[in-house]
Amino acid sequence: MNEFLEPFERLLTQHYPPERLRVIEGDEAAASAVLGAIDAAGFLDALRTEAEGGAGLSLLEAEPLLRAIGVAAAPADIALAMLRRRIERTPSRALLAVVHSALIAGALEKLLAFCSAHVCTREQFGKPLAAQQAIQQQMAQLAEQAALVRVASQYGCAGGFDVGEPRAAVAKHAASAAVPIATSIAHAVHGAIGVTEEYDMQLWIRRLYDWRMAAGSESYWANKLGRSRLDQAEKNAVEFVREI
Amino acid sequence: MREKVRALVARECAGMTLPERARTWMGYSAEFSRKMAEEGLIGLTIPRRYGGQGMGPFARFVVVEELLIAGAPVAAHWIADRQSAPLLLKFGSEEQRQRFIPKICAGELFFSIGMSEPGAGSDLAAIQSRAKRQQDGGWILNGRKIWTSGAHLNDYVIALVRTSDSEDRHGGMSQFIVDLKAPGVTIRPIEDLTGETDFNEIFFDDVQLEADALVGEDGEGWKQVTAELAFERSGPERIYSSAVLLDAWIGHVSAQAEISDARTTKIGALTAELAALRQMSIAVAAELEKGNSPVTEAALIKDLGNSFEQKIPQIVADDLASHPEETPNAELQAATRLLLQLAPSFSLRGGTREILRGMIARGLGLR
Repeated sequence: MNEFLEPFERLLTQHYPPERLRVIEGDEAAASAVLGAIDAAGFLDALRTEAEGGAGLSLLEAEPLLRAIGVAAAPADIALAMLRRRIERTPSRALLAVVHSALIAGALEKLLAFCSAHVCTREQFGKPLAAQQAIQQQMAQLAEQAALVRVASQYGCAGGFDVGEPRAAVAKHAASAAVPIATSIAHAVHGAIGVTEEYDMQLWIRRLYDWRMAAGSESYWANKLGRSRLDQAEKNAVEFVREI
Repeated sequence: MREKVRALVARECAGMTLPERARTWMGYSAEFSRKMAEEGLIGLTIPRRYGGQGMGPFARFVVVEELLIAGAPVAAHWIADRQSAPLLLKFGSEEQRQRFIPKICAGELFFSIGMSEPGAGSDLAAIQSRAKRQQDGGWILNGRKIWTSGAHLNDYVIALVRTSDSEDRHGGMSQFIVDLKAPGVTIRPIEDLTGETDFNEIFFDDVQLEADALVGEDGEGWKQVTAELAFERSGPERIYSSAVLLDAWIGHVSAQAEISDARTTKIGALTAELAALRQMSIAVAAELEKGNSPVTEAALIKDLGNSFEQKIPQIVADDLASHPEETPNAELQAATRLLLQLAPSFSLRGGTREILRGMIARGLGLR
């Protein structure tokens, strides 16, 4: 964990409370004003090289920051602005895919938190939902997806700014494939409360749908990786994945 | 390490058929296990003074991964290496360690797991087998164990039994090392749905045990068995049980003149899943390396891994039968049929899916 994480999390909480998330969704000028505040605090230079006055973080070092953006349901534009200050060319689709897997990992952490809080407090049949085995089983599956995507995000980010397509495929496939599973469970355990505008979880749900599709969905990346696997069919699975 | 295993497998397993290799860690060959011991590949994480290699969990991860992907017949030493020796190292007396562990590392002693009973499957605390202490400090054991893989071929079982009555349903249990050839031990093989006899029922009728058959503390069996199950659940075998079939299927598809996008996507999705699960398994090994016991993490990876292993034969069967114009070789078809039948057991052995999810829910603070 690096020293930037905690102040960055605080900044995101301060600038992206749920009521503001609702406003900036449909208001580009408002969105760029908030982004300006993040810039003013210096965080858009997290990836910029130290020679150019930035913090010079590697993508893996910055992974907790990217995940924090997802935890806050803040705009992906924050991450993209960070990238543009580090790499001169247009980011590759593979790099964008890896960045979005980190955003998804963060949003899934928050989704799990929403669900845990809800099932522990909401009572039905005379006891908290959390005491129902049917709910426990679904919550476990949600936790599995969150844990898997977190590992996938770190693995993707370990590929750096020049991450190859196979590694990006592993990360984004895991992240995108988790979205329908996790959002279905989140809705199921919340009942009708989860489909109201008023309940903030909807903000995370909608971003998860967007980020699942951003830079290629799970099948897009599965197809890419499948081609590469079939081209090297003489290798066994371990040999293949170790070279990714 | 990796090269050493590959060389051994290339030398010893060249003649195995695909269905034989597809059994992965259910394939039993005492001869192969002894060859592994000669190469110093059993007891990797066991200290050298007990005949092990004194290496860390990563070394074990690498060796296990290479054995599984090759479909090497590792069942003979598997339990002893994975959980019996670590259990004895952690809870056993110095005499027990010296008596058993070096022979386990030498591939000379093979162990079985004695947990389930006819009335105690997932509800392990419901066990009824009982050992009564005698005047001379020894014990008399009565009861039965079931689903005991390899008991008809192995040397010892470490059995969880009751030694006292306790208010706490997790209390009053203890673990014993029982010689499977001892008088009063009867082993009845149970044929499985593929026609193989891998598991057994064991009957204990007035089996006399020496005082030093007790492992660890009298009454601490539940705590010990929980630690033992963490060893059992955390390894990479929970993602690789169908990997031999996956590779063979990919080989078959790659040989076709035309490959549809849908087919390529299926292969890519399974490959991506395998790679991500492998990273999770490596993360668990890293926790073990730090000396932690990642109980919840091990449950997470086992459940995800089991689901992955189980869907492979289903996907392969559907794919092969949706291409009637192709002629998959007989071994690929036989391996698919075999794993279709074996796969349901993947999420039973070592703790069912429902039990594991309950443990994860506990980790989340829900119960």
